[in-house]
Amino acid sequence: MNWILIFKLAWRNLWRNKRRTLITAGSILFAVILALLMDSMNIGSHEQIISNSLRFGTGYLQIQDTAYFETPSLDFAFDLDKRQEEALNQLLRHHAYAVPRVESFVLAAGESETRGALVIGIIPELENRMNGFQNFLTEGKILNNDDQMVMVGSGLAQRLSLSLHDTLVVIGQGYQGMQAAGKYPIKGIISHPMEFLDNQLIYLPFEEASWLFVMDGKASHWLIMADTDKSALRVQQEIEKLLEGTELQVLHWKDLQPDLVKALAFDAVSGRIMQFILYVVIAFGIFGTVLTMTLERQKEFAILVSLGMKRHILALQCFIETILISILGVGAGIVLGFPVLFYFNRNPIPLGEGLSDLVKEYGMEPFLPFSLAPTVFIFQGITMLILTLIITTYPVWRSLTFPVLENLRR
Amino acid sequence: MPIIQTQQLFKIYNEDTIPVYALRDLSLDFEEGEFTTIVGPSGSGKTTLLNMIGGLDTPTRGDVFIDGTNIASLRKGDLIDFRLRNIGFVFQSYNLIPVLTALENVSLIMELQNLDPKSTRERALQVLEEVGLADKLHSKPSELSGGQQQRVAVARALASRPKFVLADEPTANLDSKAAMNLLDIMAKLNEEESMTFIFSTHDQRVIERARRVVTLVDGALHEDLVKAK
Repeated sequence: MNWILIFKLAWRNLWRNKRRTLITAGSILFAVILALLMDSMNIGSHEQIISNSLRFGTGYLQIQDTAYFETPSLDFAFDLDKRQEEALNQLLRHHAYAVPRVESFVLAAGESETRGALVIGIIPELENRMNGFQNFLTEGKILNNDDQMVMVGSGLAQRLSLSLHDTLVVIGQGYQGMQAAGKYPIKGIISHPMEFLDNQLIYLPFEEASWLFVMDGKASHWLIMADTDKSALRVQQEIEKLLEGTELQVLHWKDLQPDLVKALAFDAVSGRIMQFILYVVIAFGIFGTVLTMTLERQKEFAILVSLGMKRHILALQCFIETILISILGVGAGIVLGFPVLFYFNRNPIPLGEGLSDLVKEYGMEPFLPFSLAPTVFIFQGITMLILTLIITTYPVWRSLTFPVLENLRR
Repeated sequence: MPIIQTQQLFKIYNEDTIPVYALRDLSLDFEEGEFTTIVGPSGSGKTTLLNMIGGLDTPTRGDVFIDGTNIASLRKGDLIDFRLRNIGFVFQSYNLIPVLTALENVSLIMELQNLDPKSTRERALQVLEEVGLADKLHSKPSELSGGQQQRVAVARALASRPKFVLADEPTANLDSKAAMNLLDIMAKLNEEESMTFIFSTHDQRVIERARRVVTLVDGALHEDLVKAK
């Protein structure tokens, strides 16, 4: 088979009607850019939701008592012994780190208001490494490990009519039914990006939270933060071995938040359906061109076959022509789409006021993030390739079956 | 042994309803090196006969033997390959590939035969020179006159040294000068390369140059005249 000849014929045929080829490649280009934007925005918002959820909530992994997942009570708090903690740190090394947490719901009161609130006992340095909460400070200062003070979300402060240095009273239930009550001055107010947390958040230093809930240094759970989900899965397997024979377990964030996983999957499917509709429209455009290119050259096909070109070689030539148009459009779409996505990745689009409030209610930050994940580009490439392969069935079928003599007489 | 034999060849359209005979019991032999024209009025079966010999059409009954091979016995793919290696075609309307230059058009069949690129180019250059188009190597068909296009078509048919060339009214679209020029070229190649030519034509100039004239009427052989040398 003379590949040079086949490619030469395919390439020349592509440019025998430059305008038509450019319009077709152009329509693919715009479809790819549009699909890239849609996909990038979709994946970007998922990444943001997952990132927020991991950084401010569950972490990639969580070590907890086996009963804690079903009944998240402080009664199932635990402490790692020195050997376990060392083994854990040794295991995590550079790819991940562990953050002990104390979390419990309390009643929080100001001078005249009382609200339900979430106390999170943190080690400020690790917490900041995990979620950069320091960046959200709007008033006052960040906690130190030995502080007997709190930081509160601006939403909670507003609801309780509290300001910096005012006193917050908390009352709740501690370890094994002990009473937990405390009175703390507000050292800092943060404006948390997730509104539902901002409205109920109280940060206490880990030691102080442990004292408040009478936990004697125990943690309700440990969060493990990793570089990536992939490395988290690897770490999970190793921690599972470490925890063998104990009452503890390590859970992946997908196990901890099954509803989130389902919601994201549902959203992803909706996005894919939109993209599918877009691609169907484009596919018909490409098919129109391919159909014209095929039918207008029936006589030429007949000449080639009568001269001695085998039909499968002719089919291959038609196949390559269609693939080349697709590659041109997809390639140009990705090349031109990348800078656009890069710009929006670095400069997410802020949402308008009404929409901003709405997304905050869902715990999302009020801007449209764009992802640069390789899957965004790979998916478009593969989708277009599959579409093109489907479209090529027509010229391939036609070149394998057209009547030679009838077309030669045209 | 004749290079081409047709035996009791029939081509009947609408055989089940009102049969139309395009060819009727046609048995002909063509020897190597012949310069033959098939003549007859429109609808007499000239083109149908050439299509049968070229394996482009299938007879309703009868056989076509090329160099002893019954082409009806070949599978479709093998028949295309057989055409590629044995038959040169010259069509009335040139039928050059518009996206290829004259040189590339002439090289096409040799490239399909996967011949060595260097010898392919050399042969294409040689044949184009023989047909007087050495200065039009890189011209596309749209940049050539009708006569020049037909000369490229002849060069394409001859370049791969087929066993014979089938030419369907090759001069029909050419002016007198271009037609004579083309006939000179084909006659020269017939003599120098012993190439077998079979033409269908209405053109008196072609008939005059032919050494054998086969006349068809209503699909049947009317006269088979071999001129004295």
